Amino acid sequence: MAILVITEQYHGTWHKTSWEALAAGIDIGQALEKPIWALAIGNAGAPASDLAVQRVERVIQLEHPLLAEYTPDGYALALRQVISSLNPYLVVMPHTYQVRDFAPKLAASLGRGFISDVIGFRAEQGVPVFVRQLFQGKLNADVAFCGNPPYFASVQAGAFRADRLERAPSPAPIEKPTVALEAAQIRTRPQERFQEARGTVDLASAEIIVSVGRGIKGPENLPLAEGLAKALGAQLGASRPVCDSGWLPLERQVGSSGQTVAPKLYIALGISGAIQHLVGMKGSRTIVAINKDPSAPIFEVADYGIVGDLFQIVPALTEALQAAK
Amino acid sequence: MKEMAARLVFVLVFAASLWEFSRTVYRRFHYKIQPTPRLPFDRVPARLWRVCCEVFLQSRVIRDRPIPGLLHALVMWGFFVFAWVSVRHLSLGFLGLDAASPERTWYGAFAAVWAVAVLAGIIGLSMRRFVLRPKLLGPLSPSSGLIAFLIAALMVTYLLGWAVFPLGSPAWRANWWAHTLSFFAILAEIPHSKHLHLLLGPIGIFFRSETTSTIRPLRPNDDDDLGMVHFTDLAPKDLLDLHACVECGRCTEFCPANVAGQTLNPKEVILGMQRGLLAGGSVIAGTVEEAQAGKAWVTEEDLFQCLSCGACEEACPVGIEHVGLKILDLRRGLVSEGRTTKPKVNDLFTTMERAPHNPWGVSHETRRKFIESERFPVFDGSQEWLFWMGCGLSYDPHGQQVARAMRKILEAARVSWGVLAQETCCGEPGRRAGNEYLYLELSSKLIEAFERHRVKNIVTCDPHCARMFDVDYRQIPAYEGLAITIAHHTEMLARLLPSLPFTLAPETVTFHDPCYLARGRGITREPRSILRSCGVFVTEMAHHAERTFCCGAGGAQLYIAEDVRGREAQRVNHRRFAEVLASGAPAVAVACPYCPIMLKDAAAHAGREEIAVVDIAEIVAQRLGP
Repeated sequence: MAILVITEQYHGTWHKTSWEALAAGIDIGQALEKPIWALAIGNAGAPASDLAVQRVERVIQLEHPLLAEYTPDGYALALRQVISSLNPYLVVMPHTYQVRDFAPKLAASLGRGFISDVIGFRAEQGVPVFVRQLFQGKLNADVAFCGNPPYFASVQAGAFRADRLERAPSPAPIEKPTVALEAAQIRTRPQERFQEARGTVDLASAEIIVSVGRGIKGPENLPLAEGLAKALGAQLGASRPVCDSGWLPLERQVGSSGQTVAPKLYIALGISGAIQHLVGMKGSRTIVAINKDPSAPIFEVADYGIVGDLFQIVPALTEALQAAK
Repeated sequence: MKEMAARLVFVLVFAASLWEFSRTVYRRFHYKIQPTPRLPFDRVPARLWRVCCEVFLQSRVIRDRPIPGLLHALVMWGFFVFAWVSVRHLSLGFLGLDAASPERTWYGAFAAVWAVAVLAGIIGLSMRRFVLRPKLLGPLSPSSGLIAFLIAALMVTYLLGWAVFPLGSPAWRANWWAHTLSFFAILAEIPHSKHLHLLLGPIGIFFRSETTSTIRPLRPNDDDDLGMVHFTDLAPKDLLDLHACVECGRCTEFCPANVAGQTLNPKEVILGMQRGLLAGGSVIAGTVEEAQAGKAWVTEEDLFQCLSCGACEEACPVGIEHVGLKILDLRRGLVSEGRTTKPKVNDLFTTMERAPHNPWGVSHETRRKFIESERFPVFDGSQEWLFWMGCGLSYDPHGQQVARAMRKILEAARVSWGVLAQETCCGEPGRRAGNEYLYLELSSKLIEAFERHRVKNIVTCDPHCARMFDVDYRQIPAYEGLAITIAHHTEMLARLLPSLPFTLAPETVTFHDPCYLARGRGITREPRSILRSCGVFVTEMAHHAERTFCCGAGGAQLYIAEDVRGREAQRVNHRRFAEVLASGAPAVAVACPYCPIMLKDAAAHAGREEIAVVDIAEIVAQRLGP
């Protein structure tokens, strides 16, 4: 019995967490000594071949005119048929909005359990034990399945590392099973995809952000922050007064009247930390603050704080980063 | 015979004019509306006193625009003087002009003096309206010209009849008829125009709510349609308000959103609703496109710019309640029907609906760590006062400093107090932004907590929460039963101050009155007396006390305001901060946790971060000795 990884793509563009789910599937498969299968659903075109070059035993490409656009009924019905015939041990999915929508329905229709949003796993006596967070991340709980396989699990974005995926020496075979679907079974009518209007700068998806506040004193000093951002491969953000003064365009504004961001690293330069700014970046994983005022509220939320003059610290930091490269 | 014919003509003209007057008034009030909330008849002496000040003494009219106000007062007082003159004059119409007796009594002379004063008033007001033409008055109104002409005609004919024409002469008779016809023309014209305010103004002032921005309670038959959606949802006071508008534009002149260059215009909200009502409209508010297509009369865009600061209601000389009864109720209608198109508004609701139920979505941990590290006593029912921190003092870094200052004061005054181990939002931004359901959910959680902890007295530094607990929550029967008393910290500090050991430290500040304290709670003296007792000199800004200018945070704008490109110079907080700078004070004192957020933002924008923004509690705590 294999580990089946269900991936997510839209018209040939991969959802980046698909690779994380695949990495999780491969880790679990190796620990449990089970083969790994990958599944692409929807009218994928080329993407199934992207899966085939990974270290997987088979690739299943599920296509049907009624699966061209996502519907919870269509996906759940098609996957149910495939899973019933393949009979895998465990189905691994990325914890995307789409998975959150159809996975509970899919698992329930097969009368099986679903452990969602897992951040880790280990094998205990040949059985997988999953880790999932409780109480807003205050506690970690170990969760294991009871009953019979197939089991279902979805993995949290960022919990498994996709950069460790290795190419297989030879591509895996691609299978295209047929599924029986009828238009009458699908109760939702998908409309045209809604594209949220975004500025040219998408801070929300940036992994590292260097953000400047009034402490930068004037637009002539911005190259200092830009240098640091470049050395880190980071996007440049700003507090509201900086954007209000026109030193940086409005789309770079972080905070309740700008963008809400949650990068892995947020470096606040000369930002005092008014609540309107804090609520826009408090979700950042690691916050580094540089400010000359030790009582600045930004230090309340910072993981690392440097009390000092940013005009001395930032050039030194940029230099050290460039040297380390 | 001729005399009989004249009498007949008089009676017919009298009847026609009276008929036209009553028919029009009846038409303007004959709409299908809701019977509740009924017009209030509580606190009658206080209401009569208000009518006395604002109608007979014209206090508001003169306060905000002294010269036009005084001219208006002359005309209005002249009307009272002329009441007796008119009775005498019209009685001749029934008795016949031969019954006329000389008017050379003391009252006739008195009225003549007033006739000159009214003429002066009318000429002054006409100069303003037709020559100076201030923008706030809007397009030229033919009706204003007609009424001004007729009033002038009344006065001139009176003076001619009194001083020039011999009694009973043909010229005297013609003059009598001119006066009479002018009188009846005015009577017929009044209900067709904004001049109906002279009847409805005093009534509106009598029935006006005690404080500004008061939202009506839900009606028993409100189930899913919670707010004001259709013209049939109007209550009696709304109908009165829509017809009482005198189109003077004072509301718009004082509206911070309008002053800052936004499109909200409180006068146009009222007039738009009036037009919709008269045109037989159905739905009141909608998108800009719907309004252009004639399917709506007020736009969502404008409604969601309102700061709910109550400046318009404070300025209105005829007692119209723009904010609580119209703008916020229309927001409630849009939200309850799911017709809001503003992403920021919907984001606010989603954030508040989810745990930890505060408008910033900051974790309970932040507050828990703070009250533990500060060793705040936890309220368990044995203490006298519950210190309600509110979201501002719980999560905002400056708010937390204010909470520390309050602890110092409460301990120095040996007050028995505690804080709740966990707080959720009272629902203020939710209710102001129109989500009644969210507010009811959050309030029921809190009411249950208050009951469980046997809360009897609440003190808070947040005038928005104070307003919720003292006005909005009292519309909920389960809360009224708890009989909780509410004090804003300035009220408590003013009482405690004499017994506190503190040292005077001179300083100059300007005081920014929070809207919800000054207008929403009527507290303007206490903060100033506290500051003075601390040895602090208060220099006032152009807008202060009940005429304060909003910081820009009210009406949920702290969370839902949108930054419009290219309009960055036009923000309410920047306008207010300019007044702070103009006061010359090195610091601005506040008494609300949201004003400093907006004022500090404006200070940073102006590059004047050296202007300190401090809460009154911090000023008092600094001086607590030893």
